[in-house]
Amino acid sequence: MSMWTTVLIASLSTFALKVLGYFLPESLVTNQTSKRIIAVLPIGLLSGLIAVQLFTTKTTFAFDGRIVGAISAIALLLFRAPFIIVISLSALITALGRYFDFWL
Amino acid sequence: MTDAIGIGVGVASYGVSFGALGVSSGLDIFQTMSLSLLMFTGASQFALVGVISAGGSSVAAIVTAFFVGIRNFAYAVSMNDLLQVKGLKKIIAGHLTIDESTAMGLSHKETDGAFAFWTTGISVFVFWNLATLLGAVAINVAGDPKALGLDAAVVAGFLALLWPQLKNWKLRYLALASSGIALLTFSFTPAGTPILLAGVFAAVIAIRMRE
Repeated sequence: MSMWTTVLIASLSTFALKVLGYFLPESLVTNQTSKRIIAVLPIGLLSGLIAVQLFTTKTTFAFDGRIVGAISAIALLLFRAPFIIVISLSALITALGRYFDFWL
Repeated sequence: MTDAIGIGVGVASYGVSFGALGVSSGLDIFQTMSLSLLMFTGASQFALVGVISAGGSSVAAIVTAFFVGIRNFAYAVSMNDLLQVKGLKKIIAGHLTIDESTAMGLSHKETDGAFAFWTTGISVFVFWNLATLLGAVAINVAGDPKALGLDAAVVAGFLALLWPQLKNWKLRYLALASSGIALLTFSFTPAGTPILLAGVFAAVIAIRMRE
């Protein structure tokens, strides 16, 4: 599938989710099981994404400067730093470490 | 109104990051911009480019973005009750139904929830797209994503999105276990699949813990 097809199908499907909610009865999402799934799915997916982005390359496991970046991010989140600070400082720390050859 | 603009400005910081990450994950500027214009739901956009940059298939990327965006469906159902819109307005309201607009709409329910929803939705849409463009162009000029630590920034971005959702220890353990599932299945499943399996695992656990 080309990148454009991927972008368009993905956009269409998430758009459909939002619009569909305006045409369906409320009882569908007020039931307890749906509520719980809706709350928990993003947690599972984001956790999976973090693990894969942090510890792997395309084909193998890898441990490199990203781990330092992630530790910095967690520390910043513990101090309730805003999103942009978390992202830019962890990128900066990783980049500096790489520049001075502290880690890969 | 000033609240709506304030939220738009705040969201712009995510937007800049998304623009930069989109382009460094292998999308071009137009594809990155299309996501912000057409998909317009940050976490799903980040998830889509995240799966792609991890080498995942298109199908894995689309399915992940879809499931991350499923909460917007629940938002839409509750906003429909509040807005009482018809026809084309339903479609536009749908497109603007995201975390920020829903939160503003619901918190101003007693006064003018509809006004809060619309102004926030439009403000975030404008700032989000301008910011994406800025980030995408800036990173195109700046060069090597790894030297800039952008691979670490992707992880930091996902951590920041996940963080506020981990409200109690049950959910924190669930998050850890889900990442464990992704790593355990990484070596013998196609790229992108471990992320989906982590999501399925979380959903199954959630259904089983009924009490």
